[in-house]
Amino acid sequence: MSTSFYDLINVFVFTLVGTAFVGIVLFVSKLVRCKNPSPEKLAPYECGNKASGEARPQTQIRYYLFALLLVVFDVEMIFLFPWGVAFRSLGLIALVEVALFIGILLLGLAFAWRKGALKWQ
Amino acid sequence: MNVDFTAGSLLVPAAWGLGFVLFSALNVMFLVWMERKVSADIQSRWGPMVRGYHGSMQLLADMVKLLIKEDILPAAADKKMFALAPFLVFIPALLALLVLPIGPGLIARDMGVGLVYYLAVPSLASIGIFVAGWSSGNKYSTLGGMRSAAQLISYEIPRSLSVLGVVMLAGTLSMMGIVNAQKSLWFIIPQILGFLVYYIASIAEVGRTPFDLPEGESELVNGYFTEYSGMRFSFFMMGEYVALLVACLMGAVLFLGGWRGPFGLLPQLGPVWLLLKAYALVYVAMVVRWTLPRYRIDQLLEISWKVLLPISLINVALTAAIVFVGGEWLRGLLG
Amino acid sequence: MSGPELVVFSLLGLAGVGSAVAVVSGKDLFRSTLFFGSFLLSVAGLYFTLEASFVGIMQIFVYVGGVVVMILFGIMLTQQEGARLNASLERRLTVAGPVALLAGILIAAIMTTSFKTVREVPGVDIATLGKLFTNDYVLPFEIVSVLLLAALVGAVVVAKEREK
Repeated sequence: MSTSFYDLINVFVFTLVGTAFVGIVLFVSKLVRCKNPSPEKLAPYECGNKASGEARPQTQIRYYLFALLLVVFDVEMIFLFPWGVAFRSLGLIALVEVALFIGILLLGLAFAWRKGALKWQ
Repeated sequence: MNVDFTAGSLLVPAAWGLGFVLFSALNVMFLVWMERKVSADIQSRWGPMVRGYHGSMQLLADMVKLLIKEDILPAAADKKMFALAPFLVFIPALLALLVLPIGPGLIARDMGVGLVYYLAVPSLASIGIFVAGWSSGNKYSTLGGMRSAAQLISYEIPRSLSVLGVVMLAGTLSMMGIVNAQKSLWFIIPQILGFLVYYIASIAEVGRTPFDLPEGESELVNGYFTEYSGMRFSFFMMGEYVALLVACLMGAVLFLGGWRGPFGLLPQLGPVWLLLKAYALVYVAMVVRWTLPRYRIDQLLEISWKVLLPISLINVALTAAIVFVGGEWLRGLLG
Repeated sequence: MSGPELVVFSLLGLAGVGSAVAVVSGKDLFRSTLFFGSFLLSVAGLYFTLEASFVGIMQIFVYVGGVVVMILFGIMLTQQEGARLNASLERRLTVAGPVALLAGILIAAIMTTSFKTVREVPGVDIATLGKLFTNDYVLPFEIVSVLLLAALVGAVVVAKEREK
């Protein structure tokens, strides 16, 4: 019995169906819609003004910091879900171990909090 | 390895997929009409009234309009990426439905890792949003896309942690198993904190008011889909509404007993119960949208990391305490 | 592995290698990152064909949903408008040399190590994983959280330094 192989097949087929749906609707729309471009229409939309500045401005580090926080906590999640599944057949010791695991990470969160990294200045 | 791979292995999921595509399309039409009616109700207006009974045919007219609208491909856009983005936003929302249990034994694919799949896959839309913003060649789009992605990833952590309590009680990641574990007790009762965090985080992840600042029109025109028009634009809208519906359907599955009626009432209704519960959640989300003002981005991120994350951790601790104190009695209740 | 499984496995492998080539040969960092995402998705698919669905889904959760988005933000942080990768050939070669050497050592090490192989892949129960984390592998489990703590603190310090 290969079960996760069929999980994969299902995901594939769903992706194909979704792609086909979006593709077909866009294609039908392409057949029936009008097309009358002009330089003004194709200019970046900026409330009627001429576009100024860069289209892809350099951004601050805070976005990157939040993404890094996400990755760290995502990794934490990998370990917490198997524990959650087994939780009711595990004892108190396992709970203490997991509490320690989360506690260490919370130290990091507390550090970030104190340093003002969770602030959006 | 024994694999009995037949044409059915492809056709059955294809049929489910097609069914869910139709389901999404119909529900999006209904949801948009419902949103307009709810907003009208809150603002003491009538809302759409002209086409069909209480404007119920308005959406068909809108669909036709969107279909024949000119599609503008901005000169500054990265054409291929611009065309790719609607796919990347819509498909993850559809993929989530793969693990939605709609009735006893009725599920497209009861994955062993169903719940984690549901947590992982819809959030991939953040990449599509990023691509949409980046490829448009408009700074408002880029900024909107980045804000959207930042918001999505910030709320992913509390949302994932909030369902950990459910996993602890059900002892499985299979969506079917989670519904079955709620035979005598809906998880919203022992998991009320978890439910609240899940609901708030889900609304934020779908980017609805009060968390809709990625498209805060006073600052960012229309966010990451500013440059999109016609049918491409409508796929972003569809993706958003399907994501909202999926979040509410899954909320009903994880916390409100899925397809079960309250107190075991009318079990033959099955999927209808599920839809009713999901729409109750959708209705609340809509009322919230039309009554609360928008948060600022700093408030938005602080709510996620400084309020929801601690609450969901407290919920995990409480769940552990309940299980240890409740012991045998709870075990019997959970089956 | 046989029949359809082999076909899917090979297709995923090809898709993975193709995406990887696209990552390193592309001149646009943004597109390279997206190809990196599709590479990670193919690897996740490979895990699924090997009955490791939990690892596969976590691959998507952490890498595609997390790391790729992080890299995208990183690009936004460092890239200037219209900046493309056009390093000189010499510079590419000086980087490619050590990388190829490292890859060669890794491949040699993998080829010469005798891994325990099984004909039938046992479907690993997620609850078993949870038990292993808290019993047999409790020390590595706790060390992981120290490692994550270090990453978190490092990130905060670096970010705060840059702001000043």
